[in-house]
Amino acid sequence: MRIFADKRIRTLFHKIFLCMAVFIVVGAGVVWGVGKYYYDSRNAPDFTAYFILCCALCMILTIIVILWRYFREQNRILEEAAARIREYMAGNQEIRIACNEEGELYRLFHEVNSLAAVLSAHTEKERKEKQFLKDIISDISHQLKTPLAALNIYNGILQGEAENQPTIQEFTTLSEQELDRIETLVQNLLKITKLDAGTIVMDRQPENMAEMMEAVRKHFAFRAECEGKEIRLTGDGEITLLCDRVWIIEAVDNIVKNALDHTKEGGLVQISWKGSAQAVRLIVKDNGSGIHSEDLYHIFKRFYRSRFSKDTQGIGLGLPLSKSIIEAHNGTIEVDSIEGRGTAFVITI
Amino acid sequence: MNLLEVKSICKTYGSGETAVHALKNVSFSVPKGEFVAVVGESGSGKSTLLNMLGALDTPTSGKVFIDGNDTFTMKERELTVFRRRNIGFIFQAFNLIPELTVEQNILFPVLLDYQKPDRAYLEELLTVLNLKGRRGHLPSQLSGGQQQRVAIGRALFTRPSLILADEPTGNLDSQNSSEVISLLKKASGKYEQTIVMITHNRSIAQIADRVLQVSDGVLTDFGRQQD
Repeated sequence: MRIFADKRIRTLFHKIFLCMAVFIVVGAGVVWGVGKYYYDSRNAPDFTAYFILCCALCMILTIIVILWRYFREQNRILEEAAARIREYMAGNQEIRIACNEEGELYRLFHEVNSLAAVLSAHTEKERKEKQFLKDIISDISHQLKTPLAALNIYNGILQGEAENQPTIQEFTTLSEQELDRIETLVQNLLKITKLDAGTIVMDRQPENMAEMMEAVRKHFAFRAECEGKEIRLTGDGEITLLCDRVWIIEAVDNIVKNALDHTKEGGLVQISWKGSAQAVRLIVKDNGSGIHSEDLYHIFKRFYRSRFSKDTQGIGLGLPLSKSIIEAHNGTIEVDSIEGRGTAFVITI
Repeated sequence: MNLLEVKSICKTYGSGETAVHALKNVSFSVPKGEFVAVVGESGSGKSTLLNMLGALDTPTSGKVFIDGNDTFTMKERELTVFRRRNIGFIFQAFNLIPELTVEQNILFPVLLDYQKPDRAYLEELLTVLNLKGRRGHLPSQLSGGQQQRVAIGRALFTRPSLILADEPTGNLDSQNSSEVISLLKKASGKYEQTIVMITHNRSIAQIADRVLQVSDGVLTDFGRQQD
């Protein structure tokens, strides 16, 4: 019998049988003894039924006690196992249920243990693979930096040497643009992998918002003027934000660049901020082409390129980078857009 | 977390002048799901090491942890159950039971554990091991390669988390051995099983994720293949 492999079940049955045997013997003995005692007397009262009833009641009580103890023990074992499972789920990967006993219950525990071990192995593998991928992206980006710098220099030399040849001029200018794009891409890739890997520690200092946003405006002042667009800043000059200046400027830069990319000549990009007791809200609003409703949920995904936008600039890393930076500051970024009317990015830190 | 942790194991046979140091301060760890090959010359201590891992022999000093369990502090009764559920052995000399058929030999460890055998998995294993037509035969009616495949089936059937194999392909030709090894690797990949295998065959060692060398009782880690 398979169930008797479990030591405790075996003991339970042994106890029950023993108890039954004892009470049968006791009952029979008492009935026999009493019968013999009253053998001679004529008016012997017949207590046999009472004796048997009494013995049976005692036996039932004893068996109930035995069963109660068995189930209490069983309950304790199961509770302990459940506690172990909970502890595993809470993050202790090394916890296992004791299972080196015979019996079905312990086999079940063993299977749970195996499951836990396999799960741990899978998570570990996944983590390693992710790390490996990150390392590779970071390595490739690093390796690309040097030849890119060289290409930039060669391109400059070509431009200098061919001042009188308009065709070469034209194409070197184009290749300069492309090189710039690749450079931005490589730099963004590096930044995003570094943020992912958690190697960057945000150096949070109280910074004046107006000053930071002025820096952002200056980055794009030339471009805006060339394209006939305006960048307007509105907000309290006194508000400070506890943040890493370089990274926050980077994040807002990407958003403003995105806004400039999607506005026509004469467009307006408005950067405004407001402080409250808990947080600072920064809004970058433009009156450009807006984002298609189907794109709204994807624009923070890496390398996402809209099906609806005809824009060929950009590589789809700017906004994801901004998001990573804001999240590293425990902030949130959300976007609100009406197609054809404009877009507003809201950052709350 | 590592499935197998070996902490500074020493094994000395005999004492005084005739003492033989089979293993000298061997330490290593194997994560779950890894396929480790152990290479080394005859008499270098490979088999001794494997016996220690499977708790078939006790070391003079040191500890072995399998999935966090210290195998040498367990009681013999516990250890039997633990071994039956967690470790699959494939011996060089097959160690099949001559009175049982192929099928019974494979099911044996599961029946010992009072389990109902998983028939579907048995069929799957028999197919993969190419033993379907031989299930009713006795080991004495099989060739060496077939017997070895039965032994592998027996080790795999309980889905142990650790498989210890002592030259499983020692008696097979090269065609057969590469089949057997790829089978082992495939099976272990499916259930994240860890394999520690002794081999003399260099090309088989290359299939492993990691190669350990034992020479004169000293263990050297040749590193993982990928990193």
